[in-house]
Amino acid sequence: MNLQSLSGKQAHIWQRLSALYLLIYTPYLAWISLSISPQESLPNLAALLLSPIYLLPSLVAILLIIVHSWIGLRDIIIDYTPRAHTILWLWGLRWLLIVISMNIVWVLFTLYFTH
Amino acid sequence: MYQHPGNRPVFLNLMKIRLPLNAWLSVSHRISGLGLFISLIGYLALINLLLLHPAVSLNSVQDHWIVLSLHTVLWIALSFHWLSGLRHLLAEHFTSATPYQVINSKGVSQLLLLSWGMVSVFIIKLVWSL
Repeated sequence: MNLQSLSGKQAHIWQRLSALYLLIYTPYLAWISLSISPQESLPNLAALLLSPIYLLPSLVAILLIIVHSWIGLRDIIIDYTPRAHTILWLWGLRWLLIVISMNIVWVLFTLYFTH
Repeated sequence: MYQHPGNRPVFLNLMKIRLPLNAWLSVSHRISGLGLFISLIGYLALINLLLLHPAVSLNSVQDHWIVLSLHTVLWIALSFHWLSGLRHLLAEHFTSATPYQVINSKGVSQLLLLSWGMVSVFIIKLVWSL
């Protein structure tokens, strides 16, 4: 990875597209959160959240949150870290997002197959 | 030994830098985004804890102060990020002079902060059952 290879235009388009989707998804998430009973158990909650009406929009949102986070945090790193350490920070962020993505996949599979 | 002819190095006192309200909102958009990212990692850790330790149940942790703080940070940061993000998107969409000036006016920024303040009070009352 080098700084010149990080495209500004493509990143801008993805940032805007993900922002538009999340702009609509966030009130939907708030509505879901308000409608869930606070006494819900994990299996019931998992069953509810894994039903298609919740799962499909949420999966798209998770993917776009990862994209949005990568671009947003990448820009913060490029703008504020000393130039000598920027690539190191970017690699750290990239690996953190890969680990988070793998963990999310594991969580979804575990919830789907065990609850 | 070389000496710069000017008055350097210059000490930048960050407390004396006066930024316009819009600039503060832009900086805060980034800070709230970082806060969201950290709180989402917190939620992921919580889900991992629930899945890996059968002895820990959702009911047993849902009133813990750490979980309540996580809810508070997430929703307060998310509401600010959402509102300021909406303003960014509107400013990029309505590029002709008049609507652009309105969107970037001090009044709209103050309205955004007021709305966020009200939503934040609602979130705190709801999460902490006040």
